[in-house]
Order: sequence, then structure tokens, then C-alpha cells
Amino acid sequence: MPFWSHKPRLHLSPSRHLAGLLLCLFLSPSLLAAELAEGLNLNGFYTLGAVYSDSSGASVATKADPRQVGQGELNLDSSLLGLQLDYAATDRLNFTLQAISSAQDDFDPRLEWAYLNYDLGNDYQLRAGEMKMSLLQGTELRYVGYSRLWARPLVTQSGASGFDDYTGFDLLKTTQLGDYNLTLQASYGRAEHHRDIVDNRDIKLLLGQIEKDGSWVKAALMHARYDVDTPTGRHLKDNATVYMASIETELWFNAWQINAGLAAGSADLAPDDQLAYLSLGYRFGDMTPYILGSRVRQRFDASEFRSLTPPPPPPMGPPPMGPPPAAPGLPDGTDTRDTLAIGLRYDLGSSYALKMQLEHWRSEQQSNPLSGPVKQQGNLFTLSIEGVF
Amino acid sequence: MRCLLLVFALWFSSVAKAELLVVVGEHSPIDKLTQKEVANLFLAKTKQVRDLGRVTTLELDSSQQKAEFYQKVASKGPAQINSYWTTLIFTGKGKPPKAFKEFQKLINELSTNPSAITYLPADRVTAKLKVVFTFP
Repeated sequence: MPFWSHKPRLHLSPSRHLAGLLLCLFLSPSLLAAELAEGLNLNGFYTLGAVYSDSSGASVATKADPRQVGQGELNLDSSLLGLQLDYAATDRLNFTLQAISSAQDDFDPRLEWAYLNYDLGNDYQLRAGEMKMSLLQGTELRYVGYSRLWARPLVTQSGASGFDDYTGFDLLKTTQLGDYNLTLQASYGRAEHHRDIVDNRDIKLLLGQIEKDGSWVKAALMHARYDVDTPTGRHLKDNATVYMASIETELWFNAWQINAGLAAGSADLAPDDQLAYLSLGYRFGDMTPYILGSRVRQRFDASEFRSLTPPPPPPMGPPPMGPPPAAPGLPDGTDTRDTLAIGLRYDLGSSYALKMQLEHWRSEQQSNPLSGPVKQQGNLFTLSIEGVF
Repeated sequence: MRCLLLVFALWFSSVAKAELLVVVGEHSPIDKLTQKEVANLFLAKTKQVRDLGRVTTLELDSSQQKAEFYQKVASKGPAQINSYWTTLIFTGKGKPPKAFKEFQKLINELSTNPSAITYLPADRVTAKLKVVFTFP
């Protein structure tokens, strides 16, 4: 039965959601960024969005843990409002605070960025405070829908192996190489994981971006060390490591816009990730129709836990031939999710856009130890207004 | 013939009034900029001009003038330039030029700050300002 014939079930918390949506509408697209006082500026971004799903298995996320969208559900959880306050204490020292308030959190605000930025001169910047990961998977602009062509973020759940935020230092340098602009970033700090059982020791990031006439290529590499406990407090592993790498590009050929990216991560006691996407859009005046394909793959290896679980008592008979079995009851195998979407971005004004996206997804889950391989598929329709001020 | 000349003069003057010029204060160390340097400064890709030190970019808060300027330096329309600033502002990696609502305050800043630079229509450029770039 086609998805449009389902009668949608609405998921929202009426009073808080209504208040949040009214707030988004009140902050109309024509509201300009405000200079509140000398050196004090307020900017913001918002998404007023609805996602309809004709099956279960898809997710919507405006925080680290995504929420599954039910079959026939009309979900409004992707709506959010972000505010950023910048204070230029001097012409070199700047303070920034950014908070978001999302429908998924019942519009309870949370702090996303809080840092000092010091201009060292010669196009060097030093930042210190709480910042977001610059990797593709971390998607530092995940909540700023207006910044991207597509109606939904590429990664709906926490993508930098759960490390989206870190408290530490960034050193940034921009320079020109002929007609090309080069940006380099080195970051060091301690990251927050969205699971309490993971305690990060440190995180390091290196990033390089080269740009010319609006086309750019960006590559990033991240390494983190962490300790893992069980939910009951038993210590599982010290000094676990994760490596993640990504490369992304946006290329412009007249009105054609091509976006592509590849990312991979290898983590101890967590699935190894791979992500690839390719998008093609064409700008007709204020409208940009596009097509987007992506694949996300997670490989679970239960044998990583073999050395961590207590050995079974010795058997009565001779020892079994072959390798010992993987730890029972833990995910083991590869999960894959493919999506193909067509959509349209319509710039209604200079600072807000209407987006529509129809997405078909297919997933194959091989890692579930209880059910065996599971295949699912479905369709999502997204309609949103996104803007900045 | 005189009518034709008059029409031509009126048309030419209207074109000349619309022309945007990149200007600095008379005490600025900058004398000339290339289009690439103008683009890099006003798109927040750099705050330096060769060995002439830091530059502070300013602009008048006029949507028509801004639209025309960014179309010339970056071939971007208003929505595209807003998308561009969005990626910089909300990742803390750049800011648009400081905006002034009043023309006189902009001129005062240019006069007192030798590192300041802006763009103005040709008919608003005064003798105390120095033109460092003219669009071809």
C-alpha cells in the first residue's frame, strides 16, 4: 500500500510543542541579526519540520540519541531553535555561546558551544572552551539546517563514535596558495560521550580544507582514547581507542552542485563505521532540486569482548576444535543502511528556505544475535522551513 | 543632437552613481587591492593584506548594495551569501563585515581607523576616502 494512503498519527507534546512552534514562527525570516549593544551580537537558526514515515525503522534526531519514527507517524521532533550570542570584548578577543532548544527535548534548552576566540594575528586563531567535532560524522552544523541543501542531516545519530562535543583548544590558520584558500585546524581536548559508561581521556583532531570560488575539499582525522565501564559499574577496558577519518567535497560547475563524502571509523568495543554519500543538485533561480544517495555501514565484532568476559568452566570432555565462540548475546555482524532521496530546496527569501524531501531507505541488520538477519525498508517524507537570523 | 547628448549624459551619470568602489580612509596604508584580495577580505578568508597588517571590513546595512557587491566579488546571490555566512558564524570560523545602519557612522569609523575598509557607491565617496579597487 503506498505511503500516501496511510492516515498519519501525530507525535507531539501539545502545549510545549505549540509554544516552541509559535516561537519559531515569531522569529520571522525577516528578523535581522541583532546588535544588542556595542560588540554584542545575537544570531540564530531554526527548523520548523515534519517527517512522515510509512514504516518503523527510520529515526529523527536533534540530539545524540535519535528517536525511532513509527509506522504511519507524522513526527515534528526535528523542529528546533538555536541562539548564538557573540561578544567582541576587544578587536581580537571574542566570547561565543550557542544554545539550542529542540522539540525532541520538549524545548528544554541545552548549551552546544561555549568558547573564547583570540585572534593571534597573521590569520591564526586560538579557541578554548566547549566546541563540536569538525568531522563529517560529528557534523558541527548538524542542527543548522539552513546551512545544507538537504532536508535531513546526513547522519541522524551521533556520528563521531558518540563523541560530538569536546572541551579543549583549537588552533586555526588560514592562508592563500595562489587562487586557493587553505584552512588548517588542530584540536586537542577531552570529549563528552553521550553514554555515561564511556569516559574519554583525550581527543585529537586534524583538519585541512582547500577552497576556490565556492568549491572545496575537506579532510579530517580524529583519534580518541577512552575507558569503558558496564552499566553496573564494572570496569571493562582502559585506554580504548577510536580512529576516524573523513573526506568531503562540494563542487560547483555553473549551476550544478555536487556534494560527496567518505568516512570511516575504527573503535574498540564499538562498531566500526563507514559512510559514503553523493548528491547532485541544480540551481534554477531560487530553487535547487537534488538527488541524494548514501550508505551507512556498521560492523559489530563480538569477539572483542571475548577477553573481557570471564572464561567458562572447563568442559568434561576433550577441548572443542576451532576458535572459541564469540561472546553470546552481543551484536556480531554488519548492519547496512542505504538511502535514495529526491528533494527540493526553495529559497523563499534571502535567509529562509522551504525544503521537501522524499526518501526511500533499505536496511539489513545482521548483527542482532537474537533474531538473525533482518531486512527492512520504508519511505520518509520531510517538509520543513529552515532559516537564520 | 543636443537632446541625444543630454540623454547620453543622464544615462552615463546614472550608471556612474550605481558603481561600487572599495575605499579606505585617507590615512590607510593600503593603496591598491586586487579583486582576489577584496574577495578574500570581505568573505572573511583573511584579515591580512600582504605585509600591510590587519584589516577590518565594514559595510552599510543596505540590502541592495550588499546584494550587488557580493554578486560582483563572489558571484553569489543574497540566499547563497547568507548560506555562506551561516557556515562560518555558527562554527565560529568567520564573521561578516561589521554592519552600520548610518552612513555617517561608517564614514567616521573609516576616518579614525586606518585598518578599516568598506565599499560604497561612487557618489558617496568623499575627498577624505581613498579608492583602492574599482570593479572592471
